[in-house]
Parts: sequence; structure tokens; C-alpha cells
Amino acid sequence: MKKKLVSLLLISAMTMTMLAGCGGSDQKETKEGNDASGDKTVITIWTKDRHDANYIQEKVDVYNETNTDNVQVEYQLYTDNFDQAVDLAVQSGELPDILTLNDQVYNKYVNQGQWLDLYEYMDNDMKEYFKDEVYEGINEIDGKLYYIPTCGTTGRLIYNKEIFEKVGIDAPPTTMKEMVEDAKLITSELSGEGIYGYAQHMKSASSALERTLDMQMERENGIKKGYDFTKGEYDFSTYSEVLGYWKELLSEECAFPGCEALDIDPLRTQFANGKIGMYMSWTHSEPGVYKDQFPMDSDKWDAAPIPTVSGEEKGKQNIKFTSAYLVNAKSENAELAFKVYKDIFTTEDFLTGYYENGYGVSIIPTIQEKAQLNEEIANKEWLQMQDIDGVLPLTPQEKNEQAVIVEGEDYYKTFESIYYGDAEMESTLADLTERYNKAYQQGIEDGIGTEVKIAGYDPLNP
Amino acid sequence: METGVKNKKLSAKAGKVCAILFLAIMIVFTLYPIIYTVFGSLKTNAELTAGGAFFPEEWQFKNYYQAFVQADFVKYTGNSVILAVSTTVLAVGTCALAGFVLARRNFAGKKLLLALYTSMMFISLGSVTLYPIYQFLQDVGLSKSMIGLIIALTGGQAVNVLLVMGFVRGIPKELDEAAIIDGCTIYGVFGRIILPVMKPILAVVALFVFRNTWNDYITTLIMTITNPDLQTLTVAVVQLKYSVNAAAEWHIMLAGASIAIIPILIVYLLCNKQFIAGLTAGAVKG
Amino acid sequence: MKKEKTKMSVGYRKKMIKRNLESYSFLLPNLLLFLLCSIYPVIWTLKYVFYQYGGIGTAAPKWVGLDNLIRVFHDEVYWQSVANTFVYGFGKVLIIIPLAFFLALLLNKQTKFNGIAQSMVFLPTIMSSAVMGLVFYLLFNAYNGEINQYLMSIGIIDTPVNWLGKDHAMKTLIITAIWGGVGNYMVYFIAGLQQVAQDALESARIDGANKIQTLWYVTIPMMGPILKIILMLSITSAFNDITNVMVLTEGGPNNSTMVMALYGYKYFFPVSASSSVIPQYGYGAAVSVVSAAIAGIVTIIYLRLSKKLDDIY
Repeated sequence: MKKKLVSLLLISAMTMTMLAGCGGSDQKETKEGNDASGDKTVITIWTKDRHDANYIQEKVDVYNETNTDNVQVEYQLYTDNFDQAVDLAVQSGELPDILTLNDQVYNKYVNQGQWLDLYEYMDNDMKEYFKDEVYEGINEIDGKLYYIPTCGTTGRLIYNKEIFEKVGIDAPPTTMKEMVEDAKLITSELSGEGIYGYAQHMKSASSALERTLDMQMERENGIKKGYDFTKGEYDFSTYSEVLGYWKELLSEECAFPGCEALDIDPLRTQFANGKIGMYMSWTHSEPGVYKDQFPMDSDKWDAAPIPTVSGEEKGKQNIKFTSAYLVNAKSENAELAFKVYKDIFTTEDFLTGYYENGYGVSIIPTIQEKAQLNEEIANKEWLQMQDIDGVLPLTPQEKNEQAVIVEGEDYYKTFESIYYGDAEMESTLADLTERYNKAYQQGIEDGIGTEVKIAGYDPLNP
Repeated sequence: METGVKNKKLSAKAGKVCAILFLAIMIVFTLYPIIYTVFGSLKTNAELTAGGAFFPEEWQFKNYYQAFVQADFVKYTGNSVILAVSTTVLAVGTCALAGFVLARRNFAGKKLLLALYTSMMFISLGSVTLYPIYQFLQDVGLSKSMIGLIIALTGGQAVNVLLVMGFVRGIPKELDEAAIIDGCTIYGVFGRIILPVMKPILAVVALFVFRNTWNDYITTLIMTITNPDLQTLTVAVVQLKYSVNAAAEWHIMLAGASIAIIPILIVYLLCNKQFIAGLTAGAVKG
Repeated sequence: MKKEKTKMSVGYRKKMIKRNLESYSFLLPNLLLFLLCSIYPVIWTLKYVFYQYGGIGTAAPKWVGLDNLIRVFHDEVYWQSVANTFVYGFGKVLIIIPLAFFLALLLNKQTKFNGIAQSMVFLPTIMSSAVMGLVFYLLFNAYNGEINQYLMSIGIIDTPVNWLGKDHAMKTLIITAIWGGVGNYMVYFIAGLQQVAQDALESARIDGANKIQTLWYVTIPMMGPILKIILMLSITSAFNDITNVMVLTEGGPNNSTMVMALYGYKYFFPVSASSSVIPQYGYGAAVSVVSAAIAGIVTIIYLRLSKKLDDIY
């Protein structure tokens, strides 16, 4: 009998702990929620950016203390798998009230009424203030404005001035040929000291090539992500020359060892340590990185335009928007969310501070004039937007990634097989063109995609 | 004759030396990464990236403080403990019940069920099956909760059910029969007679489930995408690799890794005999 | 008389129903989990093999018949990943089994020293392969990993070896897999060795067989059955190793370490936080089903072959 009791106790204890374990955690969650909010309305913001998180958290804290609408803003960082988190949240209707702009996420749900038309609540002053930031077909669709870009970023060559001087390079390269030569020179002379000419974080091909090769092609002949706007179809045939240079650039003669397995941050640490001659990256992130994360003397490095094959400007390179926010139209508190968005993220004080502190490069003219840039950015003209940059139209795949489902690897991954030397150039590129166009046509046939063709498209004047 | 013996002795000696050398190399091979992790977590970042020295110059215990405070490891440790314990309890409980009844009773559909359990050991679709599981949990509103995660991590336990079943089959039936004559119900037989005898195999199941849950990466990663607050140590440590701050701070990464492996190391030191015995039981029976 | 029989059988049936209900009540908790986490996902996956689907928020699932399967058979990268899986699997099994066997032979006798050595060799198997994948990344990376620094300081190499580059990544992966698994198989082998009848060994020794002969003619044949199980386990587990690959190489560079399980996965979830994914659940399901079939076929072939092995001995 005693034994029976003990075992019974054991079983019930098991179930109890199970229940308690589960129930307990649940209770805690709701309790926490209550503690934080009281009977305030909670507005949730999701971000994927860590680099500006502290700055924004400060602004949010101030807002939480001072706002008169009895609002509690919760600012949450989702750096890992942001896309996936949003996808899953959309399915379960758990999307936050406000979230940072992510192109894929934005385009995927824009046609389903997921995002709030900001015009609904914008007053005339606000409309006037941001009128230059409206791009039809991108953030304004059918007369509805879904987000306001305040900063932009684009790709640049980042180089170590000291290393360049050491081997006698006067000016950063402007053509791919020069770039390969410079990289070879540095590697051959300084690899004994562990210094190499060129590095790129090739571990994720898409992440690396988006900020490099894509820009090169846009300036070379106006082809964006393999898409020819004039012809209205994908065409990868013109990539062969530049890929030939890339192959050299990534060879042992030029490149930092282990580029194939490198992530961007380890690369930056090595650059800050003076082990890398040059690499290419976004304008918005690098100043902050070398100021705070991996300190590097600002005099030691500079930025320059990304070299192209011909060295001539035949098209603009795309400006990618950063620091923009989407408001969830299906939120219960959409109007309030808009107010929060407006009060925190669109004030002149916020935008100026953001630019001045180097979290992003402002594209708003009044802010650009007003901001007192610290030396780090001010002295490096190529960290700011210049004539070679512009906002380009969207390719079919950017418009809706589900409308161009390509069989096999995407072009970034396919290029890996070229620049690591296994695949034959011409046939691989021809196959790529065929696969992309097939997928594009299929998307149109299925009624998911739309045709994109711009008559008389001028890459220099997109 | 004599030289023959001598030769034999010599070659035996050489053999022994080779054996010891081989053993030494293998032990260095298996222990080195672990020792590197633990000692590395106590070095400064500069020491780590410069490499070379085996022991830290100065023991940097503040790395752990940084990992716990800055990288929020207190929370992740709590999650890991709650998850590992509840999953273990749930798995042991369900396996014990199911294994017992499969070994002792005949009922409609048993053959089919056994076939399904066995086939699941061989059909492996991999981690893609997490997607439908996630969808289901979402439909019933559990996708963001600890309960959902526990369910997903516990799973079908096909192997362990069969393991327990095999063990119960080895327990003499006379034991239950005597109890039934004494007027015990089947619940009584299970609770009073079999459960105490089952302890060794349940301990094995518990150890392995605990280890697997503690170490799991993919399931937990996917199930916590929409709610990173539920992430465990293992997931959080690996994600450090992609985080801006830690990517360059190897000492923090290694401190995180140590925090993730030390608890399981302690569990192992306490019951490595059971681990090894359990593995043997599983191999011989399965 | 007849009446009574029916009465009895009604009673009997009632009793049977009660018994069945009792049985199911024991089974239920596990059965629910099993149905949800094992059976349902298989059915779901089999269904979506025939659909094109990009998740909620995109077009509704579209019936495409056998298109996904046909695409799998034309997908060169997939077949490369299958080939990689075999390279990985065979590389791992061929090295790990002899290593584990030798360790087992050396550590078989139950002494205190052997017990400690066993525990040390077994230690890696309790470590998280994800966390250790991260550690291995630090150890093996080309520019300042410890391995290169050691090798360079001893003078074995002059320039850093690109351990995670396309030429060596697979080898590195196999090394880490051996690290994580050798203790496991050693324990299996020790279990097997202890089943080898002592008197057979004794009589071999009396017949004047030396150690190697005893090993070859007595021990190994007698280990046959357990060797079969061990090989089986090592082969099936090699098909499913994915965490290690995910953390250490993410399948790269240039797909040189892409294994088939990870290839299916990447159509469902991003392989790493720095990569994005356009979900293609239908195609991913097709890839996974074909991969499972390949693993199944290999298992069946192996079982056939090992049966033949039985006949030889």
C-alpha cells in the first residue's frame, strides 16, 4: 500500500510539475505584460536593426515618459530571422503595430492591405515636409503612401589609407582592372605581415553581392539584379566581364584567406586591425561600426565609389532605403500607432540626431542642411549620397518574390560556381537568363506577377 | 628460440607503446575543443585572436559576467532548465505508460501501431516536419508559448517507447499475474509492480531526453522565431555568431558556449556510467 | 443454453471494451504526441509534394501534380548535395568505425584507468553539436583560428590552410563529425566485445593463435551481429546530420558541403540568420521525400548486403 501511494504521488508529482511548469510560465507572461502596461495602451514596434537600437530605445523611453495619450511603447529587437518572424506573425495575426521596413516583407504584403496608407492620417504639413520622399511604384502605390524613407544607403569601396600609402597606391581604383592590380600588389608585398589586398564576406553570396556586384552592373549598363527594364526581361549575358574580374579578385593572389567562409563582422574586425586593404560595403553601417564596435582611427580609412569594368558612368546605382517604418493596417490601434510613429520617428530632432550620430545617411534635404555632421562622416564625401546614386525602379522579383520562383539556385549562388572556377561562364549565364525569364513568365501566367517594361528607360535618369 | 621470444617481447612492447600513443592522441583530440572552450572563455579577446598560449594569462571571470548580463544569458539559462526538465518529465511519463501497455496488453490496432512506431525510426524527413507542427501549434494558439515548445521537443519518442517496451517484456509476467490475483487493477499493476522495476530504463530515457533537449538547436530555433524570449542557451549562443557585438568578441562567445556546456558536463560527471550503460542498452536491444 | 452463451459474449465484449479502453488510456498521452509530431507531418509533407505553395500571405496552394518531383530529378544542385551526403557519410563511417573499434579493443578491460579514458572519449557525444559547431568555427577559421596557428608555429605549414574553403570544408566537417561520434560507437563496440564468449577466446589462445589471429578469426566474426547494428546506426545517422553543417559551413562554399537534408530545409527555413529564403514548401517537401527515399533505399541495400555477410560467416 505504501508503495502504491509513493508511486501515485510520483505520477501526480510528474503531472503537477508539468502543469505547473506550463501554467507558471504562462501566468508570468501575462503578469509581466500587466505590470508594464497597467491600463495603458501598448504599441509594439519590431525592428531588425541593432546598430541604431540604443538611440531609438532612448527616444522611446523619453516618449513613454512624456506622452499624454497614455501609451506604452514596447520596442523589440528581432535581428535573427526577421522575415520569417514577420511571415509567421502575419499568419497568426500577431503582427506588431509598427515595424521597420524590410523590402521583402513590404512587397510581399503590400497588395493585401497589410500596411496602413499613411496619407489617411498625415496632415498637410507632414505631406509637404516629406514630399520629396515619395517614389511612385515604390512607396506610393495607387495613390497610397505606405512608408516614408528617411535614410538611404548604397555600396562603396572602403579602403585602408595607410596600406595604400605603404605600397604606393595614390588613389583608390576606379576600374575593376585597377582594383585587381592594387589588390595583387598589396597581397604580394604585405601578405608576409598578414595583410591582404581585398576581402569580401563571401559566406553568404547574396549578402556580399547585393552591396557590390549589383551596384557595378547598375552603373555599367543599367541592369538591375539581372533585369533589363528596356527589354522587359532578364538578361545575364552582360555579367561575364565583371565576373571574370571577380574571379581574379577572389583568387589567392588578391584575397584575404578564408573569404569563402567569412561573415561581415569578422571581416570588419580584421579591417580595423589593419589586415585588409579594401572591401565593399554599405555607406550607412560602416562609420558607426568603426566608431563604436571595432574602433579604428577615422583618418586611416576612407570610402570611394565602387570600381566598375569600364569606369564610366552609364547608369545610377540604387539607393536602398533604411530607417523607414511600416504601420500595420490591421492593428486595433492603427490610428494611435500612426501617432506614435509620427511623434517618435518623424520629428526633426530625431532625424537630425540620427544622421549626426552616423546611424544612417539622410536623404531629406532639410535634414542634410541642418545636420552638424561629426568629422568622421563629414570628411568622407563618398559616405554621403552623390550624383552617381539614384532610386531605381523595382524588378519583377523585388515587386513580388513569389511571382518569380526560379528553379535551381538564384543568381548570386550561381555566380559562386563561376567565380570559384567550376562552371563555364557563357553557358551558365545563358542558363540563368533562361531560368529567370521562365519563372518571370510563369508568374505572369499564374496571375501573381505583372509585366515590368519601361519604354525609353534611361539608366542615368531612372 | 631465445631471440624469437625476445622479438616477441619487443614487438609486444612496441605494440603497447603504439597503443598508448594512439590512445593519447585520441584523448587529446576529443578533449582539446572542450578545454579550448573553457580556457578560452577566461581569456581576453586579444589573447584569443592572437592565439598560442594554452592557459589564460589572467583569468577573466568577468567574461561570464558580461555574457550573463549583456547577452541576457540569465533568461536563456532559465528557459533551458525549464524546458529540459519539463520535456524530460513528459517524455519519461508518456514512454513509461505507453511502453508498459504495449508490452503487457493486446488491444485493437496494436500491430498497426507497432508498425508505425518502428517505421518512424526509419523514415526521416528531417527538420522540414517542423513546419506543419508549427502550423498546428499556431492554429491551437500554442506557438508562442512554452507549452508548444515542450510538445514539439518531446515529440513521438518512438525509439524510447520501443526501448521501454523491450525492457518491460523482460520483466517476468508472474509478477503482474500475482498482483492481479491479489485484486490489483491494471493501474495498480503499473504503479505498484512495474514502475519500480522500470526505474533503470526510465533513468536512461530521462538522461537522453534531457541531453537532447538541452542541446537541441534546430527545433528550438524554429519554434522561437516569433518569440525570442523563449530561446534556450544553445540557440542563443549560436545566434551570437550573427550578432554585431559578439561576432568579434570571441571571449563572450566562448563564455556563452561554456555556460551552455558546463551544466550538461556536470550531469555527465554525475552519471556517466548510466549514460554509457544506457547507450549499450539501446544498441543491443534496438 | 444458447441464450446464456450470447449473454456471456456480451459480458465478454463489455470486458474487452473495458480492457481496450484501459489500454488506450495508458497509450493516449504518448499517442497524441506521436500523431501530432510524427505522423501528421509526414502526411502533410506527402500532400504538399504535389502542390506549389509559398506560405500564408502568398497565393493559395496550387496543385502541380508531379512537377515538383520532376524538378527534383533535374535539379543538379540537389544531386550534388546527394553526392556530398554520400561523401560525408562514407567518409565519416569509414574512419569512425575502425577508430571506435580500436578504442574499444584497448579500453575493453574494466580497469579504473580504462573507465576514465572511456569517459573522456565519450565526452564529446554529450555536447551540443550546434554549440561545438560554433567553437569549431573559431578553431578552424583561416585567418586566425587556433589550428592554423599551431600548425604554423610547429612549421608544418607556412601559409594558413583554408579549412572552411571549398577544397577542405568537407574534410573539416568530417573531422568534427568524428569528434562528436567516436565515443558513441566505441561504447557500442565495448558492449559487443563483452558479449564475445570468453571461452572461445580462451580456446583460441590454447590453440596457439596470437592476438591478431584471435582478433581476426574469433573476435570479429563473433561481433558480426552487433557490427551490423552499429554500421546500420552510423549510416542512418550520417544521413540526418544537419546541425553541424548548418552552424559550421551553412552548406557552402559553393555548395561544397550542402547535404541533402539541409537542401530540403533551405526551402522551408533560412539556413542562417544572414541568409534569406523564398519559401517553396511544395518543392522542399518533394526534396525531403526523395531524400528520405534515398536513405531508405540505402538502408535496404545495406540490410540485404549484411544478410549476405551472415551467410559467409
